[in-house]
Amino acid sequence: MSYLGTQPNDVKKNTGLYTPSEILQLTKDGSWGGSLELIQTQNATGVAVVDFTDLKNYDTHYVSFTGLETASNSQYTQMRFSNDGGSSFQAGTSYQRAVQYGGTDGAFGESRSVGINSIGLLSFSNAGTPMNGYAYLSNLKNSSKKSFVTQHSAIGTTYFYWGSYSYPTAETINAIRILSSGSVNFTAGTISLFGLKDI
Amino acid sequence: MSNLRLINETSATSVSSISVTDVFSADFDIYKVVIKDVDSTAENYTYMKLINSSGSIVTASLYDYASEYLRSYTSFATVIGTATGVFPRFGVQNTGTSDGGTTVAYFFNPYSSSTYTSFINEHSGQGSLGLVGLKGIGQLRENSSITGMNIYPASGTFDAVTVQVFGIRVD
Repeated sequence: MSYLGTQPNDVKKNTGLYTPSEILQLTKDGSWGGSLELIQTQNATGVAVVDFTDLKNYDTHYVSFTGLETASNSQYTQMRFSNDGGSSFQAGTSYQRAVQYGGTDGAFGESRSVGINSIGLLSFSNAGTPMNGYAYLSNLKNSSKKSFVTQHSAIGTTYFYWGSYSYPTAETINAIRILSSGSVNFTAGTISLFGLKDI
Repeated sequence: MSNLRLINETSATSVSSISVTDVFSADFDIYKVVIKDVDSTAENYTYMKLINSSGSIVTASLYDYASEYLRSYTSFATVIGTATGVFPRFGVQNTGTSDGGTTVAYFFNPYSSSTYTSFINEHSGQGSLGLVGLKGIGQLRENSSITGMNIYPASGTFDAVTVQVFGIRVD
């Protein structure tokens, strides 16, 4: 059954509907709150990189991309990881990619690589055409595990990208950077980082 | 308060399968399931079967599915099945403790006895040859009330596995 509160100390049945007094009591108990916890939202307008340097402590993170546009056409939105709090970000051949794409022009295909310098096909961005999507990031804060990403995104109604990525080095990742492939500025959009609650 | 509610988190070590029971109920229509911290004695796919309200694992040939198997080191593969006894592409596990990837899945209307149970899943993990990913859909073609799931490796046993179940409020 579904309950609020850390198991096995279930404190209240989790129907999702509560009276104000119940909410007050659950807040006092420390058991009130949803399970998708917003860490930070950043406006990307006018900057070339968006860094998240406080990932909190979650096993699984969720990133949402809303209305992201770039200053010039043909830009891929990319992500990189940092193991030093954001002082530097891993590049070289640090990542692997297996992504499916498709477009209204009929150009369906797969994109894969075993050594790339970024998580680099989160989506294709054009000036004036917003990109929207999400990514799940797993194991970032676990020093003994490699880090993984799944994502799904779309640019306008013309192209989609979905697939998987890995950062096959077991170490703690404590910052992430979002940038465009040509290092041009974003001209619109927001990026939000969430954590999925653990027990 | 977000509309995502953590209902249950179950972990196990050195098991041939893990069953998560009594997690789907009338309280929610849509559920998110996260499989994480996976380690196995063999590199292979993660299989999934549903558990009905009587507590029985549904083993009848009632599962339909379509999955894309994504790999960083070679061409992708499409895997489909109809009227099978299992959903065979829920994830992929490997033998290294650091390799265990994560599966995220959504289940739709599992508790309703008047609709089929449908699900979508996505996975990213590390195999011996490189990155392996999955993206798929599936359905239990039966009007029955489903309350949980059973997950097991196609070969070997789980050295470790954790299953999280979240409910999504829609009001």
